[in-house]
Amino acid sequence: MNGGDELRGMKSGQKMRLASGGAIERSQEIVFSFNGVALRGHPGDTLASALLANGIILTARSFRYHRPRGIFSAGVEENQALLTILHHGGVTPNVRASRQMLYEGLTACSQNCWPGPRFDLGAISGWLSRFMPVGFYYKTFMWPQWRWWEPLVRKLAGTAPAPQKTDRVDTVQSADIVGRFDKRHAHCDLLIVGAGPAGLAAARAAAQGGSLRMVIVDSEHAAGGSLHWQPARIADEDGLKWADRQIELLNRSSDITILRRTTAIAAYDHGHYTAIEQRGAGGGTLWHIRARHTILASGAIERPLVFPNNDRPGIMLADAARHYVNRFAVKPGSRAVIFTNNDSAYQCAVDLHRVGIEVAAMVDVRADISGHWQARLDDLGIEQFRGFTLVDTRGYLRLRKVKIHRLDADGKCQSGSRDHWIDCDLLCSSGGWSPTAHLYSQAGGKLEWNSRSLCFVPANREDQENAPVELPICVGAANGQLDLAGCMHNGHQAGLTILRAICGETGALAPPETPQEIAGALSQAHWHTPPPAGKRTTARQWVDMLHDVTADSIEVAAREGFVSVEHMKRYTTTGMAIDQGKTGNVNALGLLGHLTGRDIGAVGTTTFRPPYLPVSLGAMAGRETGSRFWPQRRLPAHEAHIEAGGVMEDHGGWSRAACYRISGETEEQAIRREVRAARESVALLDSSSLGKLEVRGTDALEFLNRMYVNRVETLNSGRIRYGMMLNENGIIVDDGVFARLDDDRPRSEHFLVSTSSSGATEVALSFEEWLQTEWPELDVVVNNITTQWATFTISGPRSREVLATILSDADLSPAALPHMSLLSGAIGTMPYRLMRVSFSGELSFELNVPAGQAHATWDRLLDTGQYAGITPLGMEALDILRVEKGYLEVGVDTDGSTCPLDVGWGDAIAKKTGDFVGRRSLARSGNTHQNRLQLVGLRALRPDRLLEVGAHLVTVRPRTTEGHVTSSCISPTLDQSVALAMLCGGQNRLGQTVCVDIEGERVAATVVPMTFYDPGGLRLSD
Amino acid sequence: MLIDCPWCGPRNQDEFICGGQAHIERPASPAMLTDEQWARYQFNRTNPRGLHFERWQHIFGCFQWFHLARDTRSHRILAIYNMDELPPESII
Repeated sequence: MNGGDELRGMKSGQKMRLASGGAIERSQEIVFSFNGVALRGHPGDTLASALLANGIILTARSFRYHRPRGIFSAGVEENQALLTILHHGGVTPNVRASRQMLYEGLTACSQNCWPGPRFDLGAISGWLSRFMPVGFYYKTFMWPQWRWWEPLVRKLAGTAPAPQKTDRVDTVQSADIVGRFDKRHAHCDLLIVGAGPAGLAAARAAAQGGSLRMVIVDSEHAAGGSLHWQPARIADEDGLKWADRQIELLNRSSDITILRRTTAIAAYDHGHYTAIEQRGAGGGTLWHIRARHTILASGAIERPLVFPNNDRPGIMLADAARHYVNRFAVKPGSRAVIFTNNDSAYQCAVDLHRVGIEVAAMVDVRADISGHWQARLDDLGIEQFRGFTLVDTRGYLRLRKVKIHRLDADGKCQSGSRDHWIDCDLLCSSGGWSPTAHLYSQAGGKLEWNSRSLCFVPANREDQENAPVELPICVGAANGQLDLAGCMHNGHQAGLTILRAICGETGALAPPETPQEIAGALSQAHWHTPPPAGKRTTARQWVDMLHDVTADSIEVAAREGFVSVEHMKRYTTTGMAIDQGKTGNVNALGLLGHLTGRDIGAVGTTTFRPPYLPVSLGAMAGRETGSRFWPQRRLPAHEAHIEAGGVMEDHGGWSRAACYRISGETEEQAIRREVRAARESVALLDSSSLGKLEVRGTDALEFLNRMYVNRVETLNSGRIRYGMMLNENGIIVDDGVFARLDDDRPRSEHFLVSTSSSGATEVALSFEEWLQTEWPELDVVVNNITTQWATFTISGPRSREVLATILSDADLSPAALPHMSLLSGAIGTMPYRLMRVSFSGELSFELNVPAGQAHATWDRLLDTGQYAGITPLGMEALDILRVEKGYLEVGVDTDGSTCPLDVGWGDAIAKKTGDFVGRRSLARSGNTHQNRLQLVGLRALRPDRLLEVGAHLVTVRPRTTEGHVTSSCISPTLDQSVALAMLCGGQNRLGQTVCVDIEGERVAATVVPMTFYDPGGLRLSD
Repeated sequence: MLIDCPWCGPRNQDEFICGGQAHIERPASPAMLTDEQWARYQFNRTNPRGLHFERWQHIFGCFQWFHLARDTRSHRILAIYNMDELPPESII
């Protein structure tokens, strides 16, 4: 890439611009820059047409061999003039020059060359190319391992580097230029892709009666499709005028949406399409369109012919030359040769001649062509070579001359015939047309080979088994219909079909009148140019110019057995990446068929997959970036935590305080202070994120009995029990507590289920799934009330006395409210639920209040407890408290293979009668053997050495792992490094010494029971 | 896909989750089963080319589960019916 901003003097002349004609705004000039040189163009120009107007055709170096390459097409199929655009929002690589509308200040650079496209050091790989056949990388870099070579090879290959920075989305200076992406949705009865003659004829027919909701998308900024470069008369007026008038008529209806510069890129199931609306260089809108019916009028793409050295700058598609001459009033060259196998390129000769480009020769592989064209070219004095092919070209940075040779009746180069060089700087080649049926194929439609028009066309839907109902109707060139009258008729009929299907009307309009076209001669297949008589090879013939795939590459692939089209594609990379089979595919398939003695129809095509065009990842993301992609959930008293000095972090999607720093403190000091407060006086934790589910109904008890490994029926009203939940595979998925409430309804049971903070949604979903799908007979209602209630945990020896001053009416004594029990009440008018449960090992209460009262309640607790030194408690301190106490955390100490037996719950489960989810799986031999990873406590021999989470427990002989540390801390309370760990057969290894490998350092630790602090639980029952 | 939720009407597939194969009944007495029988209930699923019966939930909508019969070749939806219903005879 070259620095774009330093402008090396202004070139003024658009020397290749024609004096008149074209759909450009001549009265205005636009200044833009290419590789640091300031140039001029006009509004209405594409970047490609403006470059050509300035006499620049060389734009890039090729992907593999760094061959000089130039502007090759005028449309979406451009795969040579891929440029990087620098703009205010950042850089956008791989922009097709032929698709980028010119704007004031546009700054473009060449890619894949250094220092520039005229002199490129990378071209050295071109000289080495004879040693680098297809599959070179696969075959060469196998030893010792591909991954050693990969970074090097990746650097050498490829086009432009990806943008390093995120596009700025919030600072829009000019929506048309700066990168900004959006998403929009649309629904319609009929989606029409393409506003060319066929698409407009369809829209015109379907719009009769005005009852259809319609969306019309078109890639260009003005409707008309092929009429832009192929002038024609429709209904007795200029075709483009007719197109504009149709758009104007359609625009009158508010039910019809016309999207310009919008390309449909993907067809999904049930009429779901996506389309990208281009805005400026780096921005766009991704449309999601849901259509009941779809008409594809997406046209066709011209194929190049394959001949030796067919990749030089100055060689372009015949229709591209007509684009530049007719639409942009630009001469792509001064002296042209046209090479074709079909009739469509003859009009190119006429158009070039009309604007004063000397047409040196018309070379046709066919021996016989229609008398009409023969006479027409004779009239213009254009020399014609029928039954000839191109066998070579010359010119390194720009085409200088081409060599032609006579073909014999078998399509081989005739022996004895003399070569003939023709000077030219422009070669227009046409190998026929490929209908743009990508979306039809994506939607599930099949393509079949038409040997008359030499192209793959959409197969009749009646002939396709299991075709989706929503298959689009292809019309016009997308259906293989290349003449204007046929396109119009085709489109009109499709429009009527849809109108009839939706409204039952037929409409009175007749298809628009167009002049009859003369019947021409048939095209002749010419997949590559055979070597001259007596020789085995020719110079390289490029089949897929984007990837530098040659006819030889296809031949090597076929010889090595890659004869299936899908294999050949992947081996040679033909038709992959940016091109997506737009130009090279059919030639490659024809050649593969020729080499393997098969008809091209039998070779078949590869499957077309979305997207039709490369789409910036930014467009896929839209505005869902950063915090909009993953919104952080906030606790109801969020601001209170900020005020208290909370260091906020993400905990399972919630923004929670890791610790609360007061002035001058390190985080570590803060954490120790908070732990001490909880152990010695009183601490306050906001645990509002804990999941809270109400489970109620006549069968609520029975339901929870089936969901939890614990016994529910023995739980009395007002009491709480720890609960562990498994999936059907016996794996622990969540834990928490459930409380039994009084229910005033007869025979109804009422429970309050508390889940882990991150598990609330999953548990609620799982409850719903079991109730709705498996046990619909159970009378149970589940209500997720997580965000309705704020929860504050008040822990520590002085927690009771602090709470008692607030809840003056409640009896908090151990006799009235023992550990694992709850009471309800009200502070004034504010209801609350108080649960005596503990995750810290201290006397502890969870106070639930309405979420709206969270901030006030937090403040009140801090004020009231001030005398006792009440301290806000963060997540780090909480983790230390629960590790000291040996409480496991699901998902931290357990993983996707941990069953309750592994964490010491075997005895408790054995007491339960009856079934619960996952119980049968616990009896499988794999879940019961003694060498499973089991949760144990570890005490480091060096009390100050932290046993880091994730460190493996290793054995020396044999050298292997026997477990890993899951949670750990240096306990401030015990002044001792402790940990929870998963250890093979750990439950039977208490007292043993194990070796913890902390990044190479071996640390000894003793296996101990999990509870380090207050093993008797005296502090809980206080 | 466009899925016609029995409670909310046609909605984009994004609003739903697929709960896999339908009409697999949880055994009444799991404890009586052999490991093989239990594994069959837990893990064995069909993967037909053609008609497939599935469970779906309108998770970004009414939260309701329902049955859906789909042709896996064309993604055509042949029937949508309630959790306590069997597939309509017309499509079997």
